Amino acid sequence: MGLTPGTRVTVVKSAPFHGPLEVSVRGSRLALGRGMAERVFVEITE
Amino acid sequence: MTEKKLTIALAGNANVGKSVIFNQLTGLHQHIGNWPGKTVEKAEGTLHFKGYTIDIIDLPGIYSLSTFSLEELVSREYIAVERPDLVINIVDASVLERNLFFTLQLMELETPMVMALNQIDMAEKKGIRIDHKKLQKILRIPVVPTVAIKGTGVYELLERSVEIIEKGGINPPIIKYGEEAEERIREITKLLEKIPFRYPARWAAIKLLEGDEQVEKEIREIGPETLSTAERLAKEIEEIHGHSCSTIITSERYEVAGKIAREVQQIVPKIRPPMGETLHTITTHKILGYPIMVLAVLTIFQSIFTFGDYTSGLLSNLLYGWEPLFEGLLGTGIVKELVWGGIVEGIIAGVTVALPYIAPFYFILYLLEDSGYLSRIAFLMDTLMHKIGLHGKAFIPVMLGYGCNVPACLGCRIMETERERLLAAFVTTLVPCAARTVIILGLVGAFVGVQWALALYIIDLLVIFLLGRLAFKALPGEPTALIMEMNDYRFPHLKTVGKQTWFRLEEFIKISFPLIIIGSLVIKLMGILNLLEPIANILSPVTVTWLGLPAITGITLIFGVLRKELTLIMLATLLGTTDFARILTPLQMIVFTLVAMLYIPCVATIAALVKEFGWKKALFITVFEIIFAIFVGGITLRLLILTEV
Repeated sequence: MGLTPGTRVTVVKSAPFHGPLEVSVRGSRLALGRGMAERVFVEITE
Repeated sequence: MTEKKLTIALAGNANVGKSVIFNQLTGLHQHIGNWPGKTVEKAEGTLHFKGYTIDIIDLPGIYSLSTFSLEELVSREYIAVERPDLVINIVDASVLERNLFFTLQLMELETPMVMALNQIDMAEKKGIRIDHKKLQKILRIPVVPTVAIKGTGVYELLERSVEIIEKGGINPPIIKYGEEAEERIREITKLLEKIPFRYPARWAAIKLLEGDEQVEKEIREIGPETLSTAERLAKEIEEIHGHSCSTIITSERYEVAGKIAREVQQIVPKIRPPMGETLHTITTHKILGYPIMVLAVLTIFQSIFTFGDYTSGLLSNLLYGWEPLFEGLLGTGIVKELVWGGIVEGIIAGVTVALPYIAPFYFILYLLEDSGYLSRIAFLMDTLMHKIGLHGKAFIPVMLGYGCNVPACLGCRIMETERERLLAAFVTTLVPCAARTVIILGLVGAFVGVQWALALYIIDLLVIFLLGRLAFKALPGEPTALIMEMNDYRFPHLKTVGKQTWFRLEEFIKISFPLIIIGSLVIKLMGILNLLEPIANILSPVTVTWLGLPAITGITLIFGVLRKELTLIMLATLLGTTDFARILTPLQMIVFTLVAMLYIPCVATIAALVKEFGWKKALFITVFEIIFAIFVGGITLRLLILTEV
């Protein structure tokens, strides 16, 4: 889904109760379940 | 002179307006079936253009609400093996980079291509301007800007497509990967060129490096040594880069896609956030999102039930009015009983459910999907659905289930794995559909009290939750996490939504009508042969002793297999009154309704289960639910007696 190493990812918001994250990747909007989001390793840039 | 035949396939990510373009191209000349042996839909249509008869194949969209890898397999197999004359790649201009990723993959399949740069108006609203001429130059394929909903650019798209086919097609450029990968791709390509493989050699070489299971499986049979070479080379690449080979190739592909996108698009600052953005923010809001969702869903149900109730009554009055006609034709003997009571009443039963309830339900659901709201609901419901081992998308079939369990079972196809499809289908068969709502409201709601009807709904939700959780623990396998694109909100294309509704309705009719009719016939025959009484007696240990109900309810529960609300209708017929309070105590009504609610998916749902999961699993779910309903009914009876309500 475009989450490849080195991609800039912006977390827009998260649903309550430990819900999925809304992230913006390559100009598109993805919903990522926690299980999936936990497997994405990021480096904070800003 | 006969017209020359051409085949054009439409390919693209989901939600890019592909089905709208398909509809614009083919109009009414289309039909939807399944790909042979797959549960993936195949839409086909024909049109005439400049002396050609053109077959349009709508390949399944990928990366959508309804994604599973099967769809991708079907698409590429079609392009590589059936070799359409041309592929039209439909691209959402507002998310060009992600869409180009797919374009690049399509190009690797070495097929003549034309690109439709769709929703160019939405992109402009978002402040994205695309130089399509430049894009055309880079990709070396025609790029036609389109606004499918308005039909803009569709004619030109066809013109360019025919042009390309007449010219004999151009070979699209092939993207170059990093030298380490490229070198190895060449090596494998050379090996593959020596064996007869149905896919292009270079494409297959890349797929082998990516570890594509399907390609590996096929190569294993025809050229095992090529496979082992590919595996060795993939390992080498992994050692150089420190990432898996598929990650590297995907990354490089994205890099190219990103580079092209940056080159051709110009971001101009938008004056104010478009309406869709604001709508998105509100509908996925931490706090506001939920009341909006509940309100939206309740409004939908309320209006469908009001509409359904009214039209259903109207339709059955009209259709039952034909009875004298049949009497006149066939007399009042056994033939009329079978034809009217068995076949015609069966059809009436189907019609009075399908048209008033299911059609509007589908229509609104597709409206919601097309507009983009369904994916927001999935986003909000993800946490809750995870408790029963499913993710947010599973909420969609559950919602469908409130209308009718049949489409709900079929709707479970949107789940990614077989395990999740089964789990979701099991849960949806427990959702009180429109017919069950009739019983709950008509019996308990009317004679015991609305608060008890509500209590039954809550009990049902608890049952769904508990059984779902149990099934989730019992079924082996890991739950998949949610990953889904949330497209921008857009105005739904009514014609496309209408067509989807119609095709679904057709599917529903095909699955459920034959069974409802056969079922009606069987029960009618049992009545004629005076078998109902003995059966009621056989069932009495369960109905009378364990559930504390009158023996006659055994018969009505059998009728309920056909259609759940028949339990109530038959009860009235057999008892000769609709004043149920005279025959049943409130306690009996609650137990009866509870059992009717849970005891079995109706015959049409069973058919849908068989179609999707095979008869073994369907039988298991059915038997389980019968036993479970009887068990819960008996326990509830005793609990209520104990607490002396």
